[in-house]
Amino acid sequence: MNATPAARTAIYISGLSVTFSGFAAITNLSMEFRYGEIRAIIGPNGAGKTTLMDVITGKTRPAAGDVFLNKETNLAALDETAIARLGIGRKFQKPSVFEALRVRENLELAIRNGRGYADMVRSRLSERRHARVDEVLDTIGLAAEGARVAGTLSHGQKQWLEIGMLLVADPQVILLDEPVAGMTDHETGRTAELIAGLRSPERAVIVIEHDMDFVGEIADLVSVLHEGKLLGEGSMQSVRANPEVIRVYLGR
Amino acid sequence: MSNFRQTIAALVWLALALCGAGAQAAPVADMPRAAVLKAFCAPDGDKAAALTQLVALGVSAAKPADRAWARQIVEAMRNGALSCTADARATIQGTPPLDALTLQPATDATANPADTPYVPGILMMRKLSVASAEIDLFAPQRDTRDAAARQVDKFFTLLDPAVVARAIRQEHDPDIATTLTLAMAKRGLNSDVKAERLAAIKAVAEVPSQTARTALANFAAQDSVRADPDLRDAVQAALHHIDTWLTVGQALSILFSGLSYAGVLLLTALGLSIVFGLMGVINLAHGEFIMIGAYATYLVERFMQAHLPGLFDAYIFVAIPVAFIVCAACGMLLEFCVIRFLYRRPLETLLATWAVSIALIKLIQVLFGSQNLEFVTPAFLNGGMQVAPGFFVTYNRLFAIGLAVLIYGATFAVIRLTKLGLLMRATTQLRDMARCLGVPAERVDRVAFGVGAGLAGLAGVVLTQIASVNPSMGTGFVVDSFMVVVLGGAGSLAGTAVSSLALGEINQFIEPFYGAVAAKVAVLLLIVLIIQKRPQGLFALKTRV
Amino acid sequence: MNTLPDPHAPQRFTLSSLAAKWLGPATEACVAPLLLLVALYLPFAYFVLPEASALHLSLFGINLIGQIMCFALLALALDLVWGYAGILSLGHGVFFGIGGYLMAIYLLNGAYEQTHVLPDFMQYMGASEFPPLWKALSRLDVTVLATIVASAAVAAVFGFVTFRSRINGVYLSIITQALTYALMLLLFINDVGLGGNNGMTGFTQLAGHPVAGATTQIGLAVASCVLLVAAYVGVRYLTRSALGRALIAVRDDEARMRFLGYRTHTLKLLAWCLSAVLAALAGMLYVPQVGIVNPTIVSPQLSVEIAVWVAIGGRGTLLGAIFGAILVNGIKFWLTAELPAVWPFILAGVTLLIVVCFNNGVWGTFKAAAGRERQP
Repeated sequence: MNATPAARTAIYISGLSVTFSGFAAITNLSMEFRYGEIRAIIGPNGAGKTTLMDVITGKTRPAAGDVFLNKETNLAALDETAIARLGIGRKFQKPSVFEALRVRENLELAIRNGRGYADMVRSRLSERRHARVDEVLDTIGLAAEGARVAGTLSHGQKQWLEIGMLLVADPQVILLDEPVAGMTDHETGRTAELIAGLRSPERAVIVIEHDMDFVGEIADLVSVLHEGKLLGEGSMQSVRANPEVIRVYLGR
Repeated sequence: MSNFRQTIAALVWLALALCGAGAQAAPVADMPRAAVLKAFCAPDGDKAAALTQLVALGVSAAKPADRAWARQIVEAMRNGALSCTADARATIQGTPPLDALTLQPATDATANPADTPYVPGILMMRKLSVASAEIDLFAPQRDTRDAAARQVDKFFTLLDPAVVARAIRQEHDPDIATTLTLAMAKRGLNSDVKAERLAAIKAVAEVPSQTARTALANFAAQDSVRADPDLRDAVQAALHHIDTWLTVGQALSILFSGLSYAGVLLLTALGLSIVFGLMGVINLAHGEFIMIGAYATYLVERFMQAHLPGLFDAYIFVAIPVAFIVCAACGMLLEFCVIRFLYRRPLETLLATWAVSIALIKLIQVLFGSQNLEFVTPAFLNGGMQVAPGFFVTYNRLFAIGLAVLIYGATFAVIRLTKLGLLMRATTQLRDMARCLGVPAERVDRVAFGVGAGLAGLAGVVLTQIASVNPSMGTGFVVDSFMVVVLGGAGSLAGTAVSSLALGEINQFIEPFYGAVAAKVAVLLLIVLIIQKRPQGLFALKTRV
Repeated sequence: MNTLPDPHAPQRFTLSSLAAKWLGPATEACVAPLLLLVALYLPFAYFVLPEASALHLSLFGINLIGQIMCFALLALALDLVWGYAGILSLGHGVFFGIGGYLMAIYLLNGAYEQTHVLPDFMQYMGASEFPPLWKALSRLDVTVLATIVASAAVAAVFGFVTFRSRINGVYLSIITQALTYALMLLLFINDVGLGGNNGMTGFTQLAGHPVAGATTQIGLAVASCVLLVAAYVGVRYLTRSALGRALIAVRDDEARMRFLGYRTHTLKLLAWCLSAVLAALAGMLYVPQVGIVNPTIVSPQLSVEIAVWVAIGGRGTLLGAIFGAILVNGIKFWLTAELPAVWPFILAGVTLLIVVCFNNGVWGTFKAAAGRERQP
């Protein structure tokens, strides 16, 4: 399923370059992510995929180039907190849920989006938000585990919890960094369903993954990065057939 | 046979000649003495002139005998013990009375206890004290000359320029020469002859010091000087010249003390940097290793004083390996007994090392008492030299700097060039990878901890010469050394060197003007600012997370 | 270093799981009433019980209890920022000292009012009259307010600069040590006018009552207990609220919280300022009970000791901090009287034992084991 050409641009990247002490992680990259599509970014290790996400979420400052949200907000000038509040959510490679808190508490933390200290002191959460947390618990399949301490969850459950923490804040851009790393086949299948269900005209989803079957299942469009540059972009079949991509990444 | 007779004859003639010479020499040598005494004892004679002659005699000849004689005569005059007889001979009263000429007990013929001794007036007393000082200017002992120079300076109006000028020419010690030059110049300032005054101003400017400046400033305040434009300009120029020198001296002095403080910081922080970089441990017992090194030095000093007094001055060199080994052993023991159980628990390590530190302090208190230890400075570290006005380089600080540089060099060599250093660097940078490659990380930890503690012990050795030594001396250095490590980057030798230099100099620049607290706060602010930009320190060992 | 010990890690001390059976949520609920009971007991033990009775407390004993309560409050304040926000402050003595010194100024105001004699250190400095600036603290309520404002302000400035700069962990701890060291050096200077290294003493009256009098001292000890209870209840409520959970999250993974949209430096600053105020109030109550304040109150060593109390008790549990402070200081007061030469060795030995054998202090380990027993 291809995204229609008329879809709005969510993230606009132009001429992006990022260096770490002389090492060029990303060189003159230009890409565009649109609402309503699920984009997969693939490529060998060191290609700059995670660095790209770091730049979008404000963890790393670019050396040159532009990164815009909705073609109007310059993300390179903001810090992580501001970018998160704009509605850009990210899931990290390592599951980073708060292991000391319970599952439900993790989600409640995420839904507040960093606002409302007075409410937090009184542990107040609006009805609407309570309902949303319940909804997400259901979606990620942890409805029965709400009271469990997050540290006792299995690896796959932690990944889902983290995706849930993303969802609960209803972001307009979702970045997923290797969401099925370390999951069993069964868990991978469930995750594919989960992510596919994220597709919405109000949302842009970007996924970094190495599992080609998984990518084939969920992605509308695939971008290939190699050595900090865009190697190719297109549907899964066209990318799979691209000789450059085969040489660099997929293998025969 | 004839040879034998000739030899005997030659010997006899030689003996006669010597006797004759001796007989002649005695009167010749005694002649100036007698003349002086005669001039002094003349009924209406000019006592002051006679005194001048006496001094001239005392300083002219290179014969110490004459100098000592003149000195004693002057002393006798000062004590009111010199009395002149009717036939212009003098005796020094006392038991027994001495003949002034020969300084031997007087025979009855010359002595007359009824003679009234000469009692000098106030002015004469001053002249006498100046005279004795002037004679002392030519004494072989430095301390005597130094005291004499100060005395001459005190009564500069009464000094004899010829004598003092000669003394200056002969003087090797720059400090004494400076004092004398200043005294001469001050006299010249007070002269009525303008040319002499101008010359004196120039002379004072040639020996810049705080005292010289004060003298010139006092001089400049005189009405006679203010009225005369030439004098005014000359004084201003001279003051300006002195001020420049004083500023230079002060700046150099600050730089030097900053350097020596940096040297101490480097030594105390080096071991900490290695341990902190390697294991991420805040070792709160680090100060106590410094203290143990100092106490080890004390024990070496006591031992050498008792058993090897001839080599006593070398105790500090003996203490270096001893302290290193003792502290390294303590460090490895600590690592073996406590720290290795707290692997990857840096917080618990902090608490455990804190516990060990209070136990160590109490232990040393119980064994040695809590008072400051007294150290005898080795002879070669005593004193110093004046390099510029206001800038005095003490040898013990120079030694501290030198030792710090040497030890740093040695540590650098070990870390960079030996296998142990390679293993330590590998374990610091990527511990688990190193272990996978077969590096025995636990053993490396132990040795590294020992090395770190040993280096702290060396710092203690150096500190015995420049700081006070007591059981809680270490606590003062812990905070400072941690600041050095935080700024420089844990585990980086170059970082430790650069940051100890920076912090040492900053501290010494700020402290004289704004106090120790301001210096500490300034250092804190600097560190906070730098850590913002480089969170791992100036020379971060780990690059990208 | 900021996260709590892994609850899944194998326990070295297996007796804890046995003990866990007897410890439950009821234990924690008992603490506040227990402390209030102690507060009530103090005047009772002095005034009502005869001296011959074994349960009678001398004024000296009551004074000791009061001091220990102040230390417990100080430990509680540190646990708030350390156990819950992950900020290991090795310089909390600064705030303790601020409260102590401001209280001393108030007490000297009272002494001057009563005796019209300037304190010794002022006389040595050649002062002829009481400093007019000090007269601002001539009322107790003003002093309390000033303490709260001053400690919060100092904390806010420090916190703003450091937390914004994202200085964390070990480096932050070292900087707090340096800060308290600098303050100690400052207070050593006579010209600063706060008594130099001798400090300030010679207090006569507190709010009209004689400072050394039985009622005042018992009142202070009771106040210390009550303040501790109030602080404990308040902080406990806070740490169980959503704000407390946010703090815990910041402690465990600050970067993640930022990516969730939280201004973590503001969260830390809130906890930090509250902690500073609590520590300063503890200092205020401490000084009249010991009768003197001097720069050792802000020495780096004392600030490290506070962390030791919390660590021995168990950080992140609040009760652990109180327990650790009471345990260590109780033993210390007892031993410095009986075996003064041996006390540091015993403290060192106990600390080493607890640090090596327990995962998170005495109370913390027990509680974690109890929690694990209850979870299937």
